[in-house]
Amino acid sequence: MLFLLISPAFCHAQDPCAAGASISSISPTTWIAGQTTTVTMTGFLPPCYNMNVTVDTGSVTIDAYPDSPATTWQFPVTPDSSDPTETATLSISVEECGLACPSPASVTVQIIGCATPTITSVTPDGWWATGQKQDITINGGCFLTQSEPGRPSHLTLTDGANSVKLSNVSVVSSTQITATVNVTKNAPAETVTLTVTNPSSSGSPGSATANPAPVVLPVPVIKWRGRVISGDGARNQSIIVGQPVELTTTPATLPGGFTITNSTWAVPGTNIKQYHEDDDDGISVDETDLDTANTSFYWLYPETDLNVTYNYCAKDPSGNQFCTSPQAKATFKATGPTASLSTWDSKEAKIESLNVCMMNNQKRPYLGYGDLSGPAPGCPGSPDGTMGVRLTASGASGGKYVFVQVIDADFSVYTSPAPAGGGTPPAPRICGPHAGLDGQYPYRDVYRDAPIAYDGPQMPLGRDYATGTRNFHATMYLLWQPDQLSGTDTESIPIPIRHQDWQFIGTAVQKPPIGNDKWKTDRTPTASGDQGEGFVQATPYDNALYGYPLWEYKASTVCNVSQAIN
Amino acid sequence: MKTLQQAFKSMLFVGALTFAALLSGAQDRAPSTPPEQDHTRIPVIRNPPQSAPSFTLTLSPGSRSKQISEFRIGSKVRITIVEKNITSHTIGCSGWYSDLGDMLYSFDVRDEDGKPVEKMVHPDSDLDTPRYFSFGITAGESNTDEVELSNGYKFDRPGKYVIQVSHPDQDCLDADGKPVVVKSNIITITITG
Repeated sequence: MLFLLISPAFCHAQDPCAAGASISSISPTTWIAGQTTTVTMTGFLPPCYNMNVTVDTGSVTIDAYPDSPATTWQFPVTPDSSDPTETATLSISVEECGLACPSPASVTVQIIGCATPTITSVTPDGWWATGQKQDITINGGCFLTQSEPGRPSHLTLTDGANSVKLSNVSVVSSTQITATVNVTKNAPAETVTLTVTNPSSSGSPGSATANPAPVVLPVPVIKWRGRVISGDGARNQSIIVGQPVELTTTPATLPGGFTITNSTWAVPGTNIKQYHEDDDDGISVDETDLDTANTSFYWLYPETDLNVTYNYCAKDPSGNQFCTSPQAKATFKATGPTASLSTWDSKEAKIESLNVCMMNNQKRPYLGYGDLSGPAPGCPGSPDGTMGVRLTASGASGGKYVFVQVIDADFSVYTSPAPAGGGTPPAPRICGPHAGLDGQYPYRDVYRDAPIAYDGPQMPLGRDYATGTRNFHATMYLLWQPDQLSGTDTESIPIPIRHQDWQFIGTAVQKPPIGNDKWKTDRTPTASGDQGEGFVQATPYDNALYGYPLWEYKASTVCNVSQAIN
Repeated sequence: MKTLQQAFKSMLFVGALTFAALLSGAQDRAPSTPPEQDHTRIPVIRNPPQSAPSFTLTLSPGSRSKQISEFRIGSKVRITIVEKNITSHTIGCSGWYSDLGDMLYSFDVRDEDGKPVEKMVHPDSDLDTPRYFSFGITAGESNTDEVELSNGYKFDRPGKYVIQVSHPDQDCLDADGKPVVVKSNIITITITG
């Protein structure tokens, strides 16, 4: 038992018991725990009084004291918020100078406990907009259960989009309420007002609103070119390989202090984020970003039923994770050209005579694949004639072809005659092997009005040698770059189509005597045109670069010994 | 280096007779010769001579995808040359190329004292196997060439180096009937120890 003793500051030097306290009425007679009530009393409040409120549990505070003597007086009382429902006794007595006057006046009042509920948490406080029921638990205090007369507490829910339905509310205890919520599909991200109200029949009704408020976590949406392409009723999308697929998602942000913590994409098919080319360092690709809210990529090979999915995780203000969201799915069909690459081979090796400008246009012999005439290397002007091999692309509508040639191996071998007096000939002089990008990216020897690339290796024939052999092995890669996708500034990229191995092996022999510079060669070279696997369709598994040509440096065209001269 | 010497000499030794005949009928922006229809011959594009250069050369340090102007001794010194067609018709680019790109490129490479940088020579250069090339650059378009200059010049001392490249314009002849030499901008690179 706890007594609250009130001792007014003023007493009178009279017969202390001459004027006893009396109580005629008190209003109100019901006080709400946790609330301040102004009490009006009538009767007689004598000078030099004591007033106290006695309760079994908890305490009641009288916040100010009325002046006396009085026949009507008011004062505020506040039962502690933790007080249970119980009766209380208010007593007024006169007591001064150690004398206890008899017959103090008293009155009984009712304290209504837990009139104001509290909400400490809602679990979970993030609700996925799936259209399916989700159980929630509200934790707090002063919830009124069904077993208590005139009860239980009410649970109400409001949301701006009117997309959340509440059902199965059950006040399990004074500290817990359970319920079911169902958030419709396509509901937007929003906060929800969730309120527990104790009924008026419990006294003065109190209510509490969950703070922070629960949040509707929307199903993610994938957008492409300004349109929603995921969700019920979404249509399949078409794209051409090599054209950019730039996808964005919603929600971009969440309300109520929630944040998006993880984004996860799944992009099937062979795809890359970006493509780079460098003459000296080769082609490199960037892998598609799969953990960002938005992503952009290119498909490299045609494929159907490409299901791109996205989901995310969220975190509430308390750091609780919500993983993962329902999945957004968009279906693509990537189409590509039916392109082909054909090879024409001259099947001829020739001894070519080229004009050396530094030697008064003296003609010098070259072993060539094809038949060239005109200026020798380093001289102005254009060589003329026919090429040894021609590779022609066809089949694609729109876009443009890109040729890239990689030299796989390239040897030039010169043999010397035996010394005049007999003996062993000097060792052959070998230049090579040379490998790498042929010239530049893209391959430069192409017609400007037709998708044709050509080549025809030569070798100079030195008058001191007996034979010269050129063994040239290259792979021509055909890439195709589609037209730019309308509505975007992002350029398309070349994608691998096919590649073609080809080779030229030819030998020239100097007619004796050595030094007369008269050379001959078999008209039909040892090897020319298509070689090895020949014409090969590119696949993602050709190499580590998804079928793009691989090289690490430009092919060198000089012999591998060098020195400095002044 | 014999091939480079050839390239340099060739700038001074131009086929004057060839172009003199064309000069009399010089018309700017004349249509170019269409390539062979059967595509069995090398597509050589020949334009009538004109009075103004047909292209510009823009030089930058590094590769086309990564511009860098500082290199360590012994590393590959790369430069990028962009040849832009500034006519209204396709211009032909043909000739021979080797490790230093188009063999008619002439490089002026000097150290910070203005002295020409020592050239590399390959003892077997007479056996080099340059490749011929022939292609067209359409009006307003460019061709980009990456050249590993350290294949031809010794950058063996730390310091700054100044580089300029030039190329004869065979479509533009001077009063003597020789091709006008088109020069690039000048760039500076730094070699560090």
